[in-house]
Amino acid sequence: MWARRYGVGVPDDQRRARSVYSVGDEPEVQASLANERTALSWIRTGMTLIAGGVALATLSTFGEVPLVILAIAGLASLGGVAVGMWALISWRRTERALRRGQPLPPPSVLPWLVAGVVVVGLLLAGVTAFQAIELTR
Amino acid sequence: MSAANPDTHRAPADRTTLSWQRTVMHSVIFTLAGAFAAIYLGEPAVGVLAALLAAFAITVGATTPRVKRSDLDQRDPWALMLRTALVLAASGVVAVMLVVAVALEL
Repeated sequence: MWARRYGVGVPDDQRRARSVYSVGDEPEVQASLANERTALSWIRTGMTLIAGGVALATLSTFGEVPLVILAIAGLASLGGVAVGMWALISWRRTERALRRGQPLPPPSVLPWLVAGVVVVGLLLAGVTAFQAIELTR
Repeated sequence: MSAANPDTHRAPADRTTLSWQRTVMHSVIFTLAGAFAAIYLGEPAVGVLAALLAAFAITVGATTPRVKRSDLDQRDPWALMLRTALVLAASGVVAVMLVVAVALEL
């Protein structure tokens, strides 16, 4: 069956990460696959943040770019790396919870990510509006 | 979906395979775009690093196996996720190098 049972702490399970597969029972395979897809979505989100950083850096070819834009580009790239690392941590926590039959841990990074994206969006909109006003003068 | 249907687990397995393909394509396209951007911005050293990273991302993509229904019981995605996250982290480092190089020239 899909929900095959290995028993608690089966020593001959050689899969890594050991900290995940050494605890609890084998979970429902669909839940485990969903956890894997969620981690991949987080990784893609991190990649998108990095791509946004590179795109902002490319803006510098269009003329004078305020330093704050490059600062945002650097922060977005670093944020992308952090989100990717979070994907691994989150996968491990969730897989362990699934194996132990515990409630799933909350996506604690999500509010920070949303807040960061909103702040960066507002900042970029502000800089763009300011430059547009400067151009019309 | 019925429990008697042998294809019951086909959709989740296929979705996971597609998710892996999307992730790998993202990493390849973004690293290649980073390489082109670096060269366009006049930073050939960063461009070469990004191109090497793109080659690594292509290798990772080519060697990532399809999610097989027959192997679901023994699924062990940790190593695959780890190396994909490694591509991501290296991309982030290259992106920061590019930003710093551009900032130094301003």
